[in-house]
Amino acid sequence: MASYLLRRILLAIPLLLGISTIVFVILHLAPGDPTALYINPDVDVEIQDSIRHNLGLDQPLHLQYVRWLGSFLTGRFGHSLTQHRPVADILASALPNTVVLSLASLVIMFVAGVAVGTVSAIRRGTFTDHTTTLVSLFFYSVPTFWLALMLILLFSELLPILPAAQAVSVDHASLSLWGRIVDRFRHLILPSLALGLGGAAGIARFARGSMLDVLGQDYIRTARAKGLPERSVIWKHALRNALIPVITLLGLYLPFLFSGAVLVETVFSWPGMGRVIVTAILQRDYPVVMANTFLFGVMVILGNLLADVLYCLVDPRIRYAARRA
Amino acid sequence: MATRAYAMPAGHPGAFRRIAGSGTGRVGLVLVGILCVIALLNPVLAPHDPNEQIDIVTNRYSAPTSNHLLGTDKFGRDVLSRVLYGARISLGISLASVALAIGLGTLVGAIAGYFGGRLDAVLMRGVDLLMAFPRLVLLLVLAAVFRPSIWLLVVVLGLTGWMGVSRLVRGQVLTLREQTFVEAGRALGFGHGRILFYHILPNAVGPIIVAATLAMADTILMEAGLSFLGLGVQPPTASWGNMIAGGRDMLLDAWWIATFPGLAVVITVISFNLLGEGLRDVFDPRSRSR
Amino acid sequence: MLRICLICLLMLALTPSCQRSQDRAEPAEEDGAPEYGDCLVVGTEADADALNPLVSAANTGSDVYGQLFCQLARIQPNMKDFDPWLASRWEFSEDRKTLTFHLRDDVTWHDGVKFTAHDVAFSFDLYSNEEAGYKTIRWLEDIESVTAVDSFTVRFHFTQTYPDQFIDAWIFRPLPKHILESVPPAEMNRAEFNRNPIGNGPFRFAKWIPQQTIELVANEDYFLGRPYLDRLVWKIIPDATSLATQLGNGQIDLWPVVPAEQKSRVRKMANVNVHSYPSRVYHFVCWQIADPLFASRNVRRALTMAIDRQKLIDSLLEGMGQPALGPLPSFLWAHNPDLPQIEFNPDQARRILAEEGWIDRDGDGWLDRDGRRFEFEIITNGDNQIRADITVVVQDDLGRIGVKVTPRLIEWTVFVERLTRKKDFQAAVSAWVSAIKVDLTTIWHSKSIQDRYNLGSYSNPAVDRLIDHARVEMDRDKAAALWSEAQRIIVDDAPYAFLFVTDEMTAVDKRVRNVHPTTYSWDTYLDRWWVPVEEQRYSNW
Repeated sequence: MASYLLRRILLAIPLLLGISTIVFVILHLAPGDPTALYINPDVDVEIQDSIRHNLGLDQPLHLQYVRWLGSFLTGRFGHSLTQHRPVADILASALPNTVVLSLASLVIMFVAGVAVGTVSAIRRGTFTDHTTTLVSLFFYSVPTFWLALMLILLFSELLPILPAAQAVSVDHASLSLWGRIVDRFRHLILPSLALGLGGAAGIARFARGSMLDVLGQDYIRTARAKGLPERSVIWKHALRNALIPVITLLGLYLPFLFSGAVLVETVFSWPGMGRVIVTAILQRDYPVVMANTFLFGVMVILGNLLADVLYCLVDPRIRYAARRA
Repeated sequence: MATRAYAMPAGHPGAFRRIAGSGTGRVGLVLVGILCVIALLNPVLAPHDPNEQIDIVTNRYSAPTSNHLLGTDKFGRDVLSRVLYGARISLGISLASVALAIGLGTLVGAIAGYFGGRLDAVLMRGVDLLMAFPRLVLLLVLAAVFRPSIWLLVVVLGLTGWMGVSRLVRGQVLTLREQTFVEAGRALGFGHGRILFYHILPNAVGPIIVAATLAMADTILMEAGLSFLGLGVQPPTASWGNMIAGGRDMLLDAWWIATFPGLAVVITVISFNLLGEGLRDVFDPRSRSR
Repeated sequence: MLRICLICLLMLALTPSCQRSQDRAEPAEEDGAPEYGDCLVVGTEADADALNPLVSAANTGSDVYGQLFCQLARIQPNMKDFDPWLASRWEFSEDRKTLTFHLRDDVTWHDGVKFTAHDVAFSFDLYSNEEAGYKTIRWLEDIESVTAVDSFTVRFHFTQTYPDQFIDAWIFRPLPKHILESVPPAEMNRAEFNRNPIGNGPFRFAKWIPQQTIELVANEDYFLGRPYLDRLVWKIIPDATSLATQLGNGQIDLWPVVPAEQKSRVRKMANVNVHSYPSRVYHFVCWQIADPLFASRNVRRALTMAIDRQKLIDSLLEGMGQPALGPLPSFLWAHNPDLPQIEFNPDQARRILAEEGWIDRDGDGWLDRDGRRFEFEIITNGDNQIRADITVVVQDDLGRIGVKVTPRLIEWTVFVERLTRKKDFQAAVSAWVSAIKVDLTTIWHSKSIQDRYNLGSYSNPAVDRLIDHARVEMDRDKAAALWSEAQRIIVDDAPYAFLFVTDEMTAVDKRVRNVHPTTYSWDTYLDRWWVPVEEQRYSNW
């Protein structure tokens, strides 16, 4: 298993190089001089020089590319044009918020999706099945930002029970530990629902198929023939195997998750990378935009890596095969 | 945003399932047909000019009435007319960009699948790289770097949406190139290009059409998202996305401004999803949805 | 088991934060005696750029530094008289060429160092230094020098005498010499001080989390007595709709300037008091005279005539505004109340354009001349809803007389650049905040075309002459006559379509007492606002 993982990690490295290359290309596609786009004349001369040096902005293209790679892969992204501080600082404070939101949404997607999909599969052909299919289709097709707005309408305006902006309250720092946890939790609910429900619908449909596959397998029939309680059949035998393909799906889903996160963060003023990139774009803050784009790519790659690890842990066939090899 | 899982797990086709499968496809077809009619016959169907500010002072923010079936917006413009016109804009943009994406993806995938080897590896690596970026992020960056316009939208939507198609086409071509008719063609002295475009690809048309239909659904969502953020279709031109953005301020008081365009998007996306899955059942009975 | 988990989660979600009192008590009939405590959360859409009066160019920055730094005198709500503030008294010399301020001796900077006349003298030198980049440096050009006679007496020397001398001396906020003297003026833009200011005002700086919050705490040693509020927090919510939602939820307590499209929603909120008062801001459409399309005065007048500003007020502002009558606001003494207006008359507009040669010859619905269609682009900054809306209505209005207008929304920084430095636009929608002194030079004098703020390249020698004379005329009546004539010519020449003056709206949570926003500023006497103890929301901070 370790060698399998090592191989995956090594494969990720050229991917990282690749995405920084793409960001480099996009920057040079922009009309205008990259130097002008990247350096704010109001900033300290020392900082200007260090940016110019790190990103090789005054070098010929091939040398610039090398410097660029080096800088980007070590986290030296330059200085924000509008906020007068290093881009790395801005992203460092935004990244955890996006991660938290994404994780919460993934949990919702996974739990709700698998649950609904499983129930649908078990009760296949019934009214429940058809209803859940229709509802899934609806959530599958809904624009994330519109869903976010409708949730705000329902739970923040019609029934003002949940907050609709930012990640914490103003007086967060003064709350007790428990108070802080509750505060964060309350702020997390609507955004993660908006982001997760669409994906949950997709997972539900997929899980249903996967579950139906598994339920038709021989070993399930054997377990039933043995007289095991249906509950045990489902939970212990079927579900575990049905989950395996779903995990790979989660990995594939990450780019879509982050696309959705950009919209949800904007609607909820959630201080994560999505909001940062939209604000930076509206303000033409190119250093932030480029670094942010790069980081999104990194997160997808890392996410896929994690999904691979998870898959490895869950699928006994791989573990077994790896051990044998 | 939903996953495009191009391969679904194989199932157990029962008779009932078959009918239901094609049934959803039929519903999708009807809906898409209605949408196309709306988009084409816009000037006839819309009761008012979508940009006409009808008596802005007294008429704005008015709830749905017989004169304005879906109400009016901030400028006294008829929401129904704007939603109908938005269909034309959204469908038009999506169609053009999907065409671009399909064209590009087919080209890349066909070349990669047919010639194989290093070319294939390089191309597919490139595809992997581009797919590592969330599509909206790529769209935003490209839309930010250049000035927003409808043509730019079509181009960037197309440029960010071809990757999945290329993988699909590559897979198809890989299987098809082992067929005997290809060998025969080569024996007859046909060039690679001719074999590829006249013999192989026509057999792959089915899955490509399915992909195109599903891509329409995805692209419409993307365009709506971009317009919502202000980087897509610029107001006062009506697009469902920027209409939803415009209705954000009055969610509670003038809910119709944001709700109806949103429903329009949902219905349109559902239609294309249903049609796509129905088509998938037709073209590839093995991977059917149940 | 699952069910219990779900119920727990639900309860978690609905549990309000423990420390906050949920009471929404009825406001007391009488205010009673002020009490100390509580925090005021101010909502704002944009982060501050800097908290230094020398450097900041945006609203949030000036709101915050207004609580951190005092001026020599404090302007009264009537915008004509002044109260002592950093200075306890002042007097002009006989010839009015010098103005002497006698400063209080009990003022300290937030780091404990005493505030003296040397700070004032140093500050003037810094503000008037070109390299430091003070945006309204022009206003200091009539002050020759500022000297510290002794530790608590400071003298302003003027190059000439004119009515607004006091205002020019009063406008800038003194900065601490002992901290800033070591910073080269050219580097003021990036000084640490901008993000970590030391002032002498009622509140002191505590914390700034970029893009999220700015926190100020009460200054215990404030020379006029500690403010009643413990704390001020600016909460940055980039989106007006979310801001409104937060105001309704009680998560922010104050919205200084409610944008037009949110006003009706905010008015309906039960937990909030709404204060409406005339604003100092007027909106306009600027025609770029350097562009041949707008070179003709008649054409500009016709275009202005085609815009229905009452309709704009009634629709976009929901009636909460007045037509802008000219370049000077009504609260200024030099305002000409009888300015002949260019009234809304689209038919007349068409006729005038026809006389200028603009006729729809090819029947396509648009006017044309010499084969060219009358079309142009109107720009404004996209993040401002009301301005974006104005472009849409103007497009419609002008479309009705056959002029094709394309609205274009652009980012703020690019917008400012194109408007001020490059003059790269055909028509633009923007707004000015009127100064409290009579000043037509900055915007209307031809010498300001190079500078920046004469956006439309307006140049009329008659106006220039009137301005130059009126500025130094000490006799109010004579000056008023000159200013009136200048305003008349400006409106007549139609370099702008003067649109409207909004009614400003400030929304404050009902629990806050003694709130009296005025046209000058929403935060008038904020250091005297208070909240009764039993209604305080953030008591355990």
